[in-house]
Amino acid sequence: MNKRQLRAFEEFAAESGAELLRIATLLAPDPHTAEDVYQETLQRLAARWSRVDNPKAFCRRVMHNIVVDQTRARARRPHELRLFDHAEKSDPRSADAHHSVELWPSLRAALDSLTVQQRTVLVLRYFDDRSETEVAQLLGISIGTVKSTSSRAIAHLRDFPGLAAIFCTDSLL
Amino acid sequence: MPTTDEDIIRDLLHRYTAAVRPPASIATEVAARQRYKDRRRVVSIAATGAALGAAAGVIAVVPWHSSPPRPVATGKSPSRAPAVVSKLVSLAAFIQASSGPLPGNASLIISTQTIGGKQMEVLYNLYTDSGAYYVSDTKQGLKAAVEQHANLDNGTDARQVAVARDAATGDLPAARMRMANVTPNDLGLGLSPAARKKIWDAARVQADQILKEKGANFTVPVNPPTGKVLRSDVDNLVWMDSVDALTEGGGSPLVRAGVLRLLSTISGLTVVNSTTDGRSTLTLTAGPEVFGGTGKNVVVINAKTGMPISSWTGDLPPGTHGQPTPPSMTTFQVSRVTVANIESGKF
Repeated sequence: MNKRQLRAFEEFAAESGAELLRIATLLAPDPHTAEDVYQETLQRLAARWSRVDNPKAFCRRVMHNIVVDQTRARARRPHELRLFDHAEKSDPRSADAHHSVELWPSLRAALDSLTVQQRTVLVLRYFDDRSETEVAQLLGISIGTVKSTSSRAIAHLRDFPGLAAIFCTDSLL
Repeated sequence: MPTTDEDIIRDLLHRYTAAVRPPASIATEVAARQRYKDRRRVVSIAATGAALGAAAGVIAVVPWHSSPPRPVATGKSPSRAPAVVSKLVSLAAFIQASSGPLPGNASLIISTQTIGGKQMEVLYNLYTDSGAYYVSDTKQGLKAAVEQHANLDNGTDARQVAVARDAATGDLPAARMRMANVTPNDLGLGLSPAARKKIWDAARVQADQILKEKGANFTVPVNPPTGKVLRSDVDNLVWMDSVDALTEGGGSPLVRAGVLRLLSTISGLTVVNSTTDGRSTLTLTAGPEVFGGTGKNVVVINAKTGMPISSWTGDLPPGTHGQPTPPSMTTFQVSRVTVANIESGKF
């Protein structure tokens, strides 16, 4: 990485860092893992900077792959008892004074209960505002799979305890 | 107020992460680490001696190389083991003699990287004969990259392959120097001593500055390398760029033959008959003479076609010549294809 590339990389990270970490936050099970995913993604991007023409798309693919790998690794380990099932005080996401206490733990649990692919599709479609075609290309799956995965994920959230109420016609939000 | 399910989810996800901010230092740390890694890759450009290696390595890292590739005059030919030369040159001749018309118009290289035995990454690399480069970690992604003309070639790959192709039939010492100059360096190969010194001095000033900032207690040699050290530097460059050429244009017999001829000029290279998955292979090892320290890079090729099969890097255990488990290994599947077929997903 030469000086010019270094500068461009740092500019990209400054411009897109928050957005990337938010996506990592939604994909990973906790804020610490999200930061690891974010950092590892930037590291892989830096290693390939001169060959990547669409860093944003690259980062999304890499984050998905890292989370998939971590999920597989976790599945091979003995089950771990979670000591804190509520939002940590240090969790920056708990900053929403109105809803954090009652809503965020449910949303976190709901996201965690999705498959990695469902979670990624959901995040790319509704957080990142990617079209179905873009999501299909990013994840290397068909548009039909994006549609069905997205549909199943939404249905799952609708029925998830603690979230079901906000999907009622008279939204509580 | 959001009304549809999609809007509610969109709203939830954005509100949930609204307060998330990355620590500003992460990007800087990542960039600094990458610069360190880049340096390690080129550290071996110089030097076999530890102190000299460390110092000259820093010269090599100076990322703003002042000297572009230049035409060179060939220096003294390095001494090589006759058996190695014979094996590689014979195979190169055999490949050329037995090759027919080249099918397709691009090489598809599927590379699979494993670290500590665990698969980390699969990449679909497409190098077209016209010099374009497309890559993705999925077949669909490669198809999309070709459709969108997402050519990632920066000129280096095409130059590496072109020099290798020329080396198959051209003047070998000249090809060796051209390959060494494919990537910019501060050696000033082929220039007059005064011109070399000028380039070296410019790089040395910058390297000394870096050393000072890092608090290092050694300095860069005053003069550019000569003799054995220079030969080792050039060997390193030729090895790196030739292996790159093999994994970029390996679908072409001419490129493979040229790479083998180029590798035959490297001192300290060992070539051992081996078997990989029942196939007859050659194991090419560039060790400390090329990389300095205890580093080595092993490339396994098909003994009859010269096709690359795998490459791994690692450190030799001190005092042994064993084969430790490779920390990082990449395997290659090389085939010739047409760009049209890739674009239509037929691969």
